[in-house]
Amino acid sequence: MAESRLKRPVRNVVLTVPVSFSRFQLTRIQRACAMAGLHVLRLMPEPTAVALLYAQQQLKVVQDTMGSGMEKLALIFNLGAGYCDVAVTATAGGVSEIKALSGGPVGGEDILLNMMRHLLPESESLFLNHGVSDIALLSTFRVATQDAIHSLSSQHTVDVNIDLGNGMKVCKVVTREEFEEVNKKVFEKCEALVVQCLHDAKVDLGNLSDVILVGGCSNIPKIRDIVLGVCKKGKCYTGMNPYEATVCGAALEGAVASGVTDPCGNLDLLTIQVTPLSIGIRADGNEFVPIIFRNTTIPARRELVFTTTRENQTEALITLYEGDEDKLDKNHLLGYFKVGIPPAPKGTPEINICLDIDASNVLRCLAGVVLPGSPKPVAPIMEIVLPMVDDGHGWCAEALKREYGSTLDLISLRRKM
Amino acid sequence: MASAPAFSSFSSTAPFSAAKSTSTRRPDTACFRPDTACFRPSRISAAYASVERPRTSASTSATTLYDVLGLQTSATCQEIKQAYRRLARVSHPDVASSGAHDDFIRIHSAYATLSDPEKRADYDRAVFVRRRPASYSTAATPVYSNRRWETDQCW
Repeated sequence: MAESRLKRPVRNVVLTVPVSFSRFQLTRIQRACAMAGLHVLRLMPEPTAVALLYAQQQLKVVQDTMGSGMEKLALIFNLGAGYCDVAVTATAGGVSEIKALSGGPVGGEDILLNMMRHLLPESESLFLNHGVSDIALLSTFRVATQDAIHSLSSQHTVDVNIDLGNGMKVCKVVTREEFEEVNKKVFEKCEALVVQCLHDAKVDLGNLSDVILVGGCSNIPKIRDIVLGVCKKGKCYTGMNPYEATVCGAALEGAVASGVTDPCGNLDLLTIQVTPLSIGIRADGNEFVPIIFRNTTIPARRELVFTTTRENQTEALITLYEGDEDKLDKNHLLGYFKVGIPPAPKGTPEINICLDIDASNVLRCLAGVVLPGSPKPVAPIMEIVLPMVDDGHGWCAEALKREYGSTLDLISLRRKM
Repeated sequence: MASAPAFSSFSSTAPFSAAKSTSTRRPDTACFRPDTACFRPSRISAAYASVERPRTSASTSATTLYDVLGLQTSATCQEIKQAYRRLARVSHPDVASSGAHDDFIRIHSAYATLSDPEKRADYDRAVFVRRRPASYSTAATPVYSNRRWETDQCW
C-alpha cells in the first residue's frame, strides 16, 4: 500500500515494535521482512521512536542545548491496541538517551473485550458456532462498543443501544465509572508499568520535564489521570499528534539511518537504546542469573565467571534465557551448549561467560574456560549467535535437565576483589 | 613514554619539556593527591584534549575513566554528561563505521561509573587514595597499566 502511494518500490524499512517483544518475535519480524524483500534498517521499540521525535522537537526549541548541557527528561507512555510501552528518555542536543523501558501485552483490545463482556455477558456463548451471520453480528457489536468507549472519553455517560437483529438488543446506560471498574485490571497493569519504568530509570520526579502520551488509547481520561498522577504532573506534552508520533519518529530514524542529512541540522539525531529484557544463564542450582540486565545500554558487553559444582567435572551445560521473571522456566530459552573442561577439583576452573549485544541488536555468547595459574583458555573460546533455538523450546531445557540432573551444573564465582 | 610523541601537539598549551622530565617519576610521590592543586597542570591539556581528540581518546587505551571521556578529575556531573553526549555522537556504532563497538562500550562504562555519584566516589577512592590498582577490577580498563605523561605529571 505504501508502495502504491509513493509510486516507487520500498526496499528499506524501519519498524517499530512493542517493548515487550522477545528476541524470537524480533527475529520472526526480520524473517518476514526478508521474505517480502524488505531490508530492515532498524527495529526500534515504539516509545524510542517517540523519543526521537521529541528529541528533534526539543532541538528546534533550544538550538544550543549542547552548549548549556541542559538535558530534558521525558516519560513516554504508549498504549496501543495490543501493547502498552513506557520509556524514560533524557535528551539534550539531539542525543536522546533511553534511560529505561518497560512494556507489557495489555492494550485497547483488552479494554474492548472487557467492555463487550460487560455489555453482553453471554456474548461468547452466543457466537460460538461461528456462522457468517454470527460474525457479522459480532462485528456490529464490536464497532458499537468501540464507539461507546470513544464517547466515554469526552462524556460521562453513554447510551448504548444496539440492535443485533433476531430479537437481541442491548440497551444500557454506561457511566465512566462503570467503564473504569470493568477495566480496572488493565489500568492497574499500565500503572505498574509506569511505576516500574520510573524506578528503573532512577529519575527524580521533580526533574521530569514532560509526560508524553501517545497511541490510540491515550485519550481515555483514566489513563491520563493514572500516568499524570504517577508522574505528579498537571498536564501532558501537547507538541505531537498522539496517533502519528510513533510513525513520525520511525520516519526520522529512517532518514537518519539511511544517511539523509539536513543542512539545518534537524536530522542531527542519535538515540542510545537499551535492552528491554535481561539475559542470563541457568546457574546456582535452578536459578536465573542475569548477565546483562534489562535497561543496559546497547551495545553492551558483560561477562560473569562461573565454576564447576563437581569434582573432575568435564563438561558444563550452559543454558541461556531472556526475560525478567524470577522463575527460570518463565523466561524464554534462547539456546544451550556445552563447554569441555579439563578435570580439576570442583570450584577451580573458571568458566567465563560473556554476552555481547552489538549495535544492530545481535546477541552473541562467548564462553571460555580458564584454569587458575594459566593465562590462556584451555580450549578455543566458543562463540555462538543467539537465539539458537526457536520460541517455545523450553521443553528442551527441561529434557536436558532430566537427562543430566545436576551433573553439568555451574555456580557463579564471586569475583576476587 | 611511548605515547609522548602523540601528544607533542600539546606542547603549545602545556609545558611539554617539563612534563617529559617529570614523567619518569612515579605517581606515588608525596605530592600526589586527587585534589585539584595536583592536577592543575593537566587541566589545560585536558581541556585541549576534549576538543582535539574525541576519537583517539577512545580508541587508544586510556588510563583512567576521566581520560576516556576527555575530562579532568574535577569535572562536574554536567560536564560528564556533555562529554558523553559529544563522544556518543562520534563513536556510537550508529554513526561511526567499524570498530566503534568497543569504543562505545568503553565510553559508556566510563560514563556509567562517573555519572553515578556513589560509584564515582568509589572509583576516585580506588584510583587516587588507595592506589592499589590490582585490587580494583570493575571497569573496562586496568587502571595505571599504561601510564601517560598526562597522568604522571604531578609535581
